[in-house]
Order: sequence, then C-alpha cells, then structure tokens
Amino acid sequence: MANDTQDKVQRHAGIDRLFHWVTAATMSVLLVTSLLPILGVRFAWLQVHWIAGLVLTVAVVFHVLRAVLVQKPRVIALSGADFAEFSGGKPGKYSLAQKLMHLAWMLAVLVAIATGLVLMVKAGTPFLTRNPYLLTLKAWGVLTLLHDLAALLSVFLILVHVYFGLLPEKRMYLRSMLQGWVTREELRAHHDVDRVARGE
Amino acid sequence: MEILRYGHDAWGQVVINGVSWDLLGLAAGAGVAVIVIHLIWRAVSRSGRKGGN
Repeated sequence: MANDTQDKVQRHAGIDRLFHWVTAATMSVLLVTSLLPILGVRFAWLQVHWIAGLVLTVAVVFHVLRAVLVQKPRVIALSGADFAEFSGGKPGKYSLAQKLMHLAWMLAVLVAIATGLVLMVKAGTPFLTRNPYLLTLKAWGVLTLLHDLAALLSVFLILVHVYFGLLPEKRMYLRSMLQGWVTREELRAHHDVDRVARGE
Repeated sequence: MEILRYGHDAWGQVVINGVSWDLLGLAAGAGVAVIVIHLIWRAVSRSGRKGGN
C-alpha cells in the first residue's frame, strides 16, 4: 500500500485490478459455457470455453510471475500472526478471510488450468491436433473429475466472494478493486498499519 | 444422489467420466448456506451491539 496521495492510500495497482477483472470475466465465461449445457441449454460451447481458458492461463501466469518477481508473495501467504484476528488483532494488508479466499481460488484455478490444458488435447483445437489416445480412458476420466471438482469449487467461491464483496461494510475493498485506493482512515480502522508497512 | 459419472471402456469395464452434475446444486447450495449463515450471524451480532449501547 504505497503511493499515498493526500487521504488516499493505494491498495491495488492498476495492473493488479486489471488481472482481477480479467480473471472474473474469464471465470464467468468458463462457468457459463460449461454449466449451461448441463442445465439443458444447447450451444457450441467448447470453442468459447477453451479460448477463455487460454486467456485465463495467460493472466494467471502473468500474475504469478508478477507476484514472485515484483511483489512480495508473503503479503498474501498465511502466517501465525493472521490468527490474532480471533483475539481482536488487526490484519496486515489482507485479512485471514481474504487470504483463505485467495488460497481457495488458487487451488480451483490452478487445478482447472492444469487439467484443462491437457483436456484440450482430447478435444482438439485449431492449433492442437486432437489425440484422444494420448491417455487411457481411466486417466481422461480422472482429469475430467478434477476439472469438474475445480468447477464446482468455483461455483461455491463465486457466490461467497461476490456476496462479501457487495456487503456495505466491505465496500472499501470493492472500491479499491475498482479504483485502487482506500482512505487512510479506513486503513487505520481495519488494518494494522505496522504490519502493512512491514509488507505483511 | 450420484457422486460420480461413469462410462464403459471398449472391454466393458467401468471407468470414471467425471463428477455427477447432481453435485452442482450441492455446490451452489453450500454457497447460499454460507451467505445465509453469515447474514444471520451479522444480524444477531449487530442487534447485540445495539442492545449493549
């Protein structure tokens, strides 16, 4: 949270906000294209699905590289200090709930991407020759199972994530993901500024 | 409720095809349950705070 200007403290840089909303858009497209056919809405979903999956993959690779090389990964990593929130302690940049949400999204998205990229070989794309014999039926089944579980976890997480994002008392976080900043007063009220300054 | 979807290979052996889509309602229901529980907890803790003032 650097680059203070008057009463505003930057929480998310523009590039990180862009990543968040690209992820939100692609995850929405991925879930709509995969789940609507299951609910009986028939359309040519596969091409839109893998294109959105590739956009998500590029965005996530960029995010991981930026987090590791430019940012401080420990700012989002769980630590023992996070559990002080149960005894009235304030969080660093991210609360325990936000870190757990990130961890759950990380699991869902990474499993979806890893399995989805291999499943593209089975489905075939304009740049990838279809090869359903690359793996055994049993292995394709396990990959699909993991891909499906990632989708189900994503359905759960989207509901919970959007709900908490829209709560009036959490509006500062939604604003910061749209405009990048929180006020100094909001920062002091909800976060331990010393932990924030230490990059926690 | 089914947990998994099954199919058969060329030799008639049962293979897993993926997760049963019956679980889609369960995932959405779990999300809604978290929201409802939090809304109740939020309302109770707010009324408790008002009562304390």
